[in-house]
Amino acid sequence: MVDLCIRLFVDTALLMLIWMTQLIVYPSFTYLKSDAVSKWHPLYTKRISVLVAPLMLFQLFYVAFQLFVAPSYYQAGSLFIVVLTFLITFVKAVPKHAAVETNPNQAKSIFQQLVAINWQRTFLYSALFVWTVFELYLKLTS
Amino acid sequence: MVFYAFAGLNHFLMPDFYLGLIPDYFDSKPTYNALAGVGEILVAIGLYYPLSRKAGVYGILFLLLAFIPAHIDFIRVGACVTDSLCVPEWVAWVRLILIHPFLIWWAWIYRNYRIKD
Repeated sequence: MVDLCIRLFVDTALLMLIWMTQLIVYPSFTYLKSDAVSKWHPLYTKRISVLVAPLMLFQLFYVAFQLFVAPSYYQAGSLFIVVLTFLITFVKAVPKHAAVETNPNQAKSIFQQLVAINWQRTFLYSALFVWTVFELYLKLTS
Repeated sequence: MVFYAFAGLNHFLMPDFYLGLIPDYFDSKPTYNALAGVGEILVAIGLYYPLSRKAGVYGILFLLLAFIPAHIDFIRVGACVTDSLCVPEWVAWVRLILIHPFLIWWAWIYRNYRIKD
């Protein structure tokens, strides 16, 4: 039960962050002028990394750890989703953020691309959250 | 491509080898073995044709991600499954931590690869 509560905490935190980023943060960048983007974006990426990176790493290692100590279809599926979010983040999203730094004049179109990429992560984190809630429900009712 | 075609066929030629490597929490091991075999054969076909090469690479990535739990389970049971595969535990760790990510990276960098005429 404790393991599922830990998972619920970290899955919820990432769910909130990804939806806020998707609905508020990325769209707000499209309204900024290029000089404002070039000043704010490096600070934004550093500050958001401080929040997101520990959560993502904790989720990855905790799910992998659970797969060692309490293996189940849920843990295996969770690891699949978590590794997929890592791949999308580092292979698709991070290069786009780097592109914003080098081409602040094209920030609007790059952030529109980032929103499209981020829908994939939003879907995955939402699915992970729903699955964890469902597992918790099964545990509580069994 | 040839590697994935052989690997896919092998799931049907030597099913017992693979069935032992599928974690016990998977209900129907023969079904998962068949799915993995068909998946690898489809990926090989996808890689062969330029038009479907990118889809083939995404297929490889999907399969590699799907196999991670099996590699973790293999370490969990001591890197030795009777009538299947037995290796030193450090080999299983190297496979999980180094080789598997390398294979994912390798597949990813070749997603836009075109054979020159």
